[in-house]
Amino acid sequence: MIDLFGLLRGEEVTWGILIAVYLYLGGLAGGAFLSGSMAHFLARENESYRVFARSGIYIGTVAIILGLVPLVLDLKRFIVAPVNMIYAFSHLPESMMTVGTWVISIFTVLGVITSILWVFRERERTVKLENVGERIYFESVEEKVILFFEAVGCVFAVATMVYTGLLLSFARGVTFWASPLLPWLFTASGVSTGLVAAGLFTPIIGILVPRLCPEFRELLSRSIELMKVEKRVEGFDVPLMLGELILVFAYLLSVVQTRGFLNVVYGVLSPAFWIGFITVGILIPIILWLLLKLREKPKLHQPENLALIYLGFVLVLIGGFILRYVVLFGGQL
Amino acid sequence: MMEVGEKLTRRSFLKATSLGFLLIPPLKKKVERVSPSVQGKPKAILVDVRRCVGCKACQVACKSWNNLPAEETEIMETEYTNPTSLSATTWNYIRFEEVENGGSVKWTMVSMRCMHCLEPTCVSVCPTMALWKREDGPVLYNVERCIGCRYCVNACPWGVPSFDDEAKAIRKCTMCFDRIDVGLKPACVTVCQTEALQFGDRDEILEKARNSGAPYIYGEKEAGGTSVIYVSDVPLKEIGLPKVDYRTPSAFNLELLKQFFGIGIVSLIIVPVAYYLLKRGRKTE
Repeated sequence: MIDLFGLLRGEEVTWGILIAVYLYLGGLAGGAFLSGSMAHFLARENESYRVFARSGIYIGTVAIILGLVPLVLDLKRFIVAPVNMIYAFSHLPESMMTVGTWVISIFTVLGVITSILWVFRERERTVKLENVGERIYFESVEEKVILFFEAVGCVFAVATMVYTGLLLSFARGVTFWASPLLPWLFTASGVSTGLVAAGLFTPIIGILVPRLCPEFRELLSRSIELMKVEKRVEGFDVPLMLGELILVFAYLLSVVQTRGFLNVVYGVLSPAFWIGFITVGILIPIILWLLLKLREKPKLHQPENLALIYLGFVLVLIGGFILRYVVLFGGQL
Repeated sequence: MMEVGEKLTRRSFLKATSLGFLLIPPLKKKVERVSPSVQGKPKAILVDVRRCVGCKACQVACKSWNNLPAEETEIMETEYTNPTSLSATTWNYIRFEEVENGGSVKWTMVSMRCMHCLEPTCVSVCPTMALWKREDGPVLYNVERCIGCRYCVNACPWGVPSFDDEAKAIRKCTMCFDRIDVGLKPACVTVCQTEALQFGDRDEILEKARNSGAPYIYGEKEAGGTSVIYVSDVPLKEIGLPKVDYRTPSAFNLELLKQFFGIGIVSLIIVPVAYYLLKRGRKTE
């Protein structure tokens, strides 16, 4: 019998909390990049959505780079033989981990390039706008270059999210993971968490680095515009959460005969699953969304409503992590 | 040719990093060719559960030949199995099971070990190709390529590979490949007094298993076939051998991918149709 702290750290499992964080950040990164790129494709002439798009790209890039930290910390031979990492690229296409190594490496490079392009592009545009004195939107080469990198990046962002699920599904020894629905569940959760992370960090970037990203700070002062963006983000996230709900139960039904199912649904991980993921991560954010829907329009732009939206986003982010934790540990205990 | 334990030199590292992408196919070939001394046909070990008396000589022989330290274990009144699982320092052990047989209870002893699959899952998932299958049977490990990801630990259907935290390496049965190379049998087989363990060409071992009159044969088809074949007079599930389907790792992966993409295609049809119907329903309201 292991205590709660031991369980949280993963003392009795092969892949512990570090891998849960890695899978979570990988999914979130893919989702944030995808959301940012989509916002850019669909509404590139809207100043507010441009800011959201940048937030998605930046958060996606930062998250995928941060995700490498727990991964490397978890590799038991990294300190002994770090150069062996080069061999992780060698077993194509058979090893899913090698496929993932390529996918994540390319995605990271694309994320960094796209982020750098965005920083320089917006700085240049701000200077131009100041000089001209009016707002001009034009299809320059640079914009097309960014769109190109985003389009290619989206492919790898989706591949990264799918990979986090397939990595587990291909581990045949853990029957709880051997379901084709798991990659879809992780993808849906990745898009959901990435989307809300991009929304949540839109004002946070404005507060943290106002000089580097003046557009973010500017959006902060236009609270109605910010509210519109965040409402739209929430509007997109609700169907995703409902999809997750369907997928998680379909997934559990597909592995109903495994010990992992018992661990998650009735056993030691059931509080984390039912309270942490289902209630906190899905149901409460949906209830918060419904609450705001019921409020009258003039009251909608009040700051407390924005706070409610952000509370929902934080809960979705917590739920997304708990999902990875529960699935990862459920199969191994 | 890269042998077990060959070190990654600065030169080979610089080669690998400078050529990167282009070097991957040669790296792959280099490892696939590794088979220091293939002694004829693929070999296999026969485990005849009916003959085992639980003397644990195989356990001791394995420890002795492979220089494996003793393990601190608890002696339980209700359990003769000791240690109770494979680990980095225990590569085989005897499992004691009381099995109900025609109204009475029968003691059954069974040797648990690496199955040395014909197409091993551990080899299939290993991103660095630190694990490989030798043509004559043994599944081997090269620590000099390993990154310590432990994917093999989670992927093996029998949970065989163990990560040794002290040695920072995967540890598992090697089928005593170093003995096979000089024409000897694996240590465990050599010491088995009751011939519960036998060693030979896989074809012959399978033939023996089929002709043994035992109602249960395990390892012939499991996970695509293994180099350890069990014969038993009691259902193998009851003596701790898990039910593993017959698919090879590549067939397993392919089927999973097919199902994954199938779900995606079906969703691509269902979701837009549902959305359209929902929207039309709202409009008519």
